[in-house]
Amino acid sequence: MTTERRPDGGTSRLATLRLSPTVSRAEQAVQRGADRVRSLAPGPALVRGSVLVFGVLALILAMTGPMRANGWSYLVTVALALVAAVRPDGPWVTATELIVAGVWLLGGLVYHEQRGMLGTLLLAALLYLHHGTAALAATLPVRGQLAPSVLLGWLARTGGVLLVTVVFALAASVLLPPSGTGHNSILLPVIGLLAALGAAVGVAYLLHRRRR
Amino acid sequence: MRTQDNPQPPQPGEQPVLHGPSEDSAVYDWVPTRALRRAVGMALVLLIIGVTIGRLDLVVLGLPFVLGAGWGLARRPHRVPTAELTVDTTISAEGGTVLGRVSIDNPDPAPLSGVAVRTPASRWLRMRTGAGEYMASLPGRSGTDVLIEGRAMRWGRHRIGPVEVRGYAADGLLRSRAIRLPATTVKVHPVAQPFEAADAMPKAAGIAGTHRSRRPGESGELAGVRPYQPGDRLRRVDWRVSLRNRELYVNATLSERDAEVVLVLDVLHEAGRSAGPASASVLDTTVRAAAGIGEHYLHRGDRVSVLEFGPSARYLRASSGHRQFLTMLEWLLDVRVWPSGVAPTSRLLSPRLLPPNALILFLTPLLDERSATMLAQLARTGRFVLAVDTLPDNARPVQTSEWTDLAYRLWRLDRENTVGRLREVGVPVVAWAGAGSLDEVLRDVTRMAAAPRAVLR
Repeated sequence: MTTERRPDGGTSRLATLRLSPTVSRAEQAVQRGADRVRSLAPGPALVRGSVLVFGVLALILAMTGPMRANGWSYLVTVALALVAAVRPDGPWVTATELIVAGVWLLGGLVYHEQRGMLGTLLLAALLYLHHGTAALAATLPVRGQLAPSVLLGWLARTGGVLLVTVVFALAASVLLPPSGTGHNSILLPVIGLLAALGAAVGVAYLLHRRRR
Repeated sequence: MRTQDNPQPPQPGEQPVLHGPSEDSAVYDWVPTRALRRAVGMALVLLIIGVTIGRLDLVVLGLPFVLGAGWGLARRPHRVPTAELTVDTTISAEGGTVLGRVSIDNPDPAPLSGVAVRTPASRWLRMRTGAGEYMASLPGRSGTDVLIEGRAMRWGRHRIGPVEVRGYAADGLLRSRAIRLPATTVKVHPVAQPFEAADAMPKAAGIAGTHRSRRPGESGELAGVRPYQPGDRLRRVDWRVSLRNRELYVNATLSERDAEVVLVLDVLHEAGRSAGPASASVLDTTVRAAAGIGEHYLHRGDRVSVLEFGPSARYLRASSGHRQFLTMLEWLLDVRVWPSGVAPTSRLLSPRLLPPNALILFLTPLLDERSATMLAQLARTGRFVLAVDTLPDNARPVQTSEWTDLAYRLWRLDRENTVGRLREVGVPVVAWAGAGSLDEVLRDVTRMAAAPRAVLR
């Protein structure tokens, strides 16, 4: 910090701090972020806010015994969901969803928690909503105006997908024996393998891109 | 630059590397987004683990990803949307409205979950709708229009575009290649500031026009009554005077001639803040004043030429009439300030550019010593030159330190000194203030033109 003599004889402390390049870059990054937040239009803000909310709820719902009591878990949850909401076109969305699934599986395998079909369906809905809102947010320009038909169409299609999921899950829970009972049913592996095969065929279909 | 789409040939000794086109390449109409990879990846992981360890809950977690991706891809479009930019290129004036539209069509029967339209516009077009980024959904075989409406805030050639349109399908799982539409230029003419000059021109030059000359000729301007001479027309006979004197007398008239006005625009420097019609920078004042002065003299039948005092010395040849006014407005659209340090032209003293009898109106902010030197040279060569000060009152330097005000006052004093020296060599300097602002000095110039004087030629 330097001082400079004024014409009236006094001295004034001038705010000419010699900042290191790292601090200057961080300051510029914060400034860019603030400008970006200020320029955020209502439509994209709503969608990105939804990504944040669904991410936080999914992570909290997936938490298992010791994590629920630890305050740091919630801090990490919010931070992870926030990064995914800020960069919906980055890999953090996938990472968040994989962590949700991993923590959920950990609770079942290690802590033997029984969440029931309702909890499973709720988490499935939150995961898919997180994925869907992130996919939508990645297509929306930050400063862009959003026609209501985009959101309404997305809501209708997502609602349809979740409805079919509920129907399928309820049917499966009725038809299939409860997991962990030791029943040697071959139906579940067959259905799962068929679904996995379908997904693989879908990938192959997408990789076959039509050229102009 | 070496890119995947446009690889440069390998250097000697370098192994050629083959790359496939990138996903943003125009080779592909539709490409999967990261969201699709995520959906497929999550579904595979959850289903495979769920099946392997026999957990229905993991299958349920993965099911929406499978259903959502499958539903979206089942209605996958194959053709990309088409777009067209239409802008009303009717010439607008400052403060006028600019209209246009981006028409987007979806030729495919499959719907598009979103079409993102990005329409950049010049900062001098204050857009009410249509500019920036917009997203709408589009059903199959349908179209939509994004209306563009704004207000032109400043003269010049302003661009709308290039427009970029990109389609999204299956709720953002697929993305089309970008369609780029070239930009359209909108011409915004300067508002001619009102200008009136009641006084005569210093020297009439042509053979016809509105200015009274000192030579006898055919016009309505009465010069006196003289005895009849052979060749005088009968309609010029003043019968009242002839009857009184018992001799034929005729009315003598003065001829009317046009004058040539040369507008010299100083484009060496820009100052002040340009913020639409309400606030004007040096260049704004120069261009608007030139339009106003040109309109006035052209309306009176004089010939007007325009010339840039800068490195390029752009020149609009002298002519008269409304067509010349329109040509001048077009010419003014391309006036721009050159980077400092570039030497101005020395062709200004050429008699072809500046005829000896022309009235030269030099619109200058007097920010450069070279402008003052040129004015003094023009005056010394006997031209009728008038400096119009275009420096706006609000042109002040940014307050960077406590010495800024003092430095500004010193600079102002130096500038007043320059103005005083110009007046000493016979160059009147008057601040531009619109209608009637030049009357008094024009009268002085006319008076000086009438007096004999020795000049350097």
